[in-house]
Amino acid sequence: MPAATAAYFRVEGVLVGRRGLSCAAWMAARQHDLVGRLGRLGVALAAAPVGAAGDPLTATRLAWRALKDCTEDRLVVLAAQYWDDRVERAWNPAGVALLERCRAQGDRIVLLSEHPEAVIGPIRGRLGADELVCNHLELASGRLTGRLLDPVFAGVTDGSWVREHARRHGLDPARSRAYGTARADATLLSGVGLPCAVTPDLPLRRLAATFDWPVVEARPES
Amino acid sequence: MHRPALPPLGEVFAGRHLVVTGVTGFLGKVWLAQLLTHLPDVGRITLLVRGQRKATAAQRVATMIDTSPAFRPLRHAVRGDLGAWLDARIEVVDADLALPDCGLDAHTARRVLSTADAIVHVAGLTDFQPDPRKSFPVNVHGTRHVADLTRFMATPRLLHVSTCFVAGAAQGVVEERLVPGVSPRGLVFDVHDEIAACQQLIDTLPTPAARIEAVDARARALGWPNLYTFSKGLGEHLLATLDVDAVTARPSVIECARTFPEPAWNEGLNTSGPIMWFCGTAFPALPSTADHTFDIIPVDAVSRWLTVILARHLRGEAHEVYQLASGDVNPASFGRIVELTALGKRRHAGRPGARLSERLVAHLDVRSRPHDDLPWLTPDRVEGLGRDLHALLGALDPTDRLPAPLQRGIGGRLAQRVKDARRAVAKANRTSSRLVRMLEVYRPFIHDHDWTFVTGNVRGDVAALHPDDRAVWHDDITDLCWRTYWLDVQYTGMVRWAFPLMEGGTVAEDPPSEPALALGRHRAPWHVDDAVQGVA
Repeated sequence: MPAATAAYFRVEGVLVGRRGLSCAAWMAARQHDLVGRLGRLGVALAAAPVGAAGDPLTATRLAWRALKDCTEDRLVVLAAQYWDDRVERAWNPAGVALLERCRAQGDRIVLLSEHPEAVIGPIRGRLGADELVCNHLELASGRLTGRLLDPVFAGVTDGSWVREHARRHGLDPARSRAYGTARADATLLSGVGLPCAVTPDLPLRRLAATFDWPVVEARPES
Repeated sequence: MHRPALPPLGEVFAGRHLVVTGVTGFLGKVWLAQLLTHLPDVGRITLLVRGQRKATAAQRVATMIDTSPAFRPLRHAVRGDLGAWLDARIEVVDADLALPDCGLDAHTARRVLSTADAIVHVAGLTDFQPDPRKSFPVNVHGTRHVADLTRFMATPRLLHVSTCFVAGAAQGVVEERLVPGVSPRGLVFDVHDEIAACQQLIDTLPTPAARIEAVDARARALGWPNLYTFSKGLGEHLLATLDVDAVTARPSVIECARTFPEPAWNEGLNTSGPIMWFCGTAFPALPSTADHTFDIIPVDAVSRWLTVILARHLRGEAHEVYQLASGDVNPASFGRIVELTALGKRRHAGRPGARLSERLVAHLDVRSRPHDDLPWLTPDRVEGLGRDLHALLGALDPTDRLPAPLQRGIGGRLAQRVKDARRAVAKANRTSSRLVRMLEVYRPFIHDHDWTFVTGNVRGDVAALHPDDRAVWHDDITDLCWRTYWLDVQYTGMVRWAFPLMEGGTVAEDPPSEPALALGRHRAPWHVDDAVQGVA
């Protein structure tokens, strides 16, 4: 019997038109007192150039530093509000349709997100995914420490990640699919036999052309 | 502590006769509604209620059952003629707790009490700093008068509802006991002498303010932080000197219902209402100690526990004191409650149709901060500035400085503008003053003292409930998620039932039935017995 197959979906861009960094900034702007908010917002926004400079891991860590000392209660309430107001209004119907098709084919659905679990956790049930790989914020005495628990996910940067994941779950990477939207997803796409670029940014579009990867054009709902 | 198993509550209460005070209050309503809904085989409940000028005691109770949301489950559960169903179970007797024997004549007292199995005394005035001329007759003398009624009973049993905060200045871990004649400050005192001394002040001082100040000074000297806890404390100490089989139940801060009569139901302002309302203003800090426990307990948990305690009492198995609180097993700190209130405000402001001002204020999160670390913007500063501004506007006559032609042209309008502004400032000042007074009254509870009330007695009795009773009567506060409770129950309940009252509005009750419910139209079995006894 052949090994099972998986479909890896990068949540940001493929399924939802929101970035983890913007979520961190949104939450930083909803912390206590105006001056504190500005400082936190500054930290979260400083992560953007770091990410653009090619260090998404540091950018992700930095962005969530902005929530240091935020209470667990505030995190839970803001996360629910963010889900309702932002995520639920930014589905990418084409991406969701791809996911449903993969699930119908019997693929193991693996979602990859740079959002923290407190925010993006509901997506697993919402889309009927088998697995969600995302970040986890560290809590101590009911407050966020500002650190992310290891391993921090900021996109697949290690070429062996897909292979290792497939081995652990008895999957065949050569017959598995992956869907990404940015240059940072190229490592993920190159790890499977059936990659697909969804509304790719320019660098990924060029790569897709070079490697002859299929491209799907789709826009999120908002 | 191991407790003997309780038989099914239906068996314990079947055929029992209970005499109850305070059913028109927040807790009393829920307790009566829950008892009638879930233990309909109770023999007879006599309600001691004060008649008013516009409504007799029976009419008050009928209107309450007909229109209060607390009785929705009962109205839904009883099929057919609710009036007849109630007449077979309850009797309303006009009574006044301020009077000896609660105003009952000897014949009525004998008729009502000779068959009673227990008196449940829920009545009490819960205002924090009332005129003692109003609170002492209910909380002190009323307790005495209710206790005196037990002399008409074959087995004199009393369940007295007090408050955890009789602990007063004795902060820290508060055990479930009372040391009679020893005040919270550890001073030995004679409760009868103390009541007599207070009564003399109440009788002689001419104004409410003077009476409050004088009696409050006595309360603080003994270690009670306000007149409410003082009067309830005196009530407990008084009971301890009387020859009554009394069990005291002390709830902490009673708040919105978790499930009964329905989630978030509430009546009146409660203790947390003003605090939550404060959190909805633009002030950045609530003067309070963030890591102190705010001991809250949902009204339906208290109601369930009272029934379980009463069952124990009826079987002669009750402890002397029960504390009904949450802080020893599932504490919520002030800091957390203030944070959750701020989040509730934020969430509420995000609803469709929210006012712009609500949306803006929702972003000004309030925090719990101690008195010595408050930000500049505080209610007393605003009150002071408001007073100065009001005086300034009062002294300002804009027409003085205008040349004669302009005076004739716009002088009148300008003067009117100043007058309007002065009125608006006066209104804002009243709100600031209310906040300042509220914070003063609340200070001992939200800032100065930190209590942990031990609740082992009730938890032991609840754990010994019959398995068949657990679904309805078991209420384990240890599993309560404060985030869910505060946001989905308490905040929602306050918005629906309390904030409109604080803003000078009203809260609609249920519409009365058609025709309106009336009590006393059907003769209950005990009426026949009484008639026979009367003839004899």
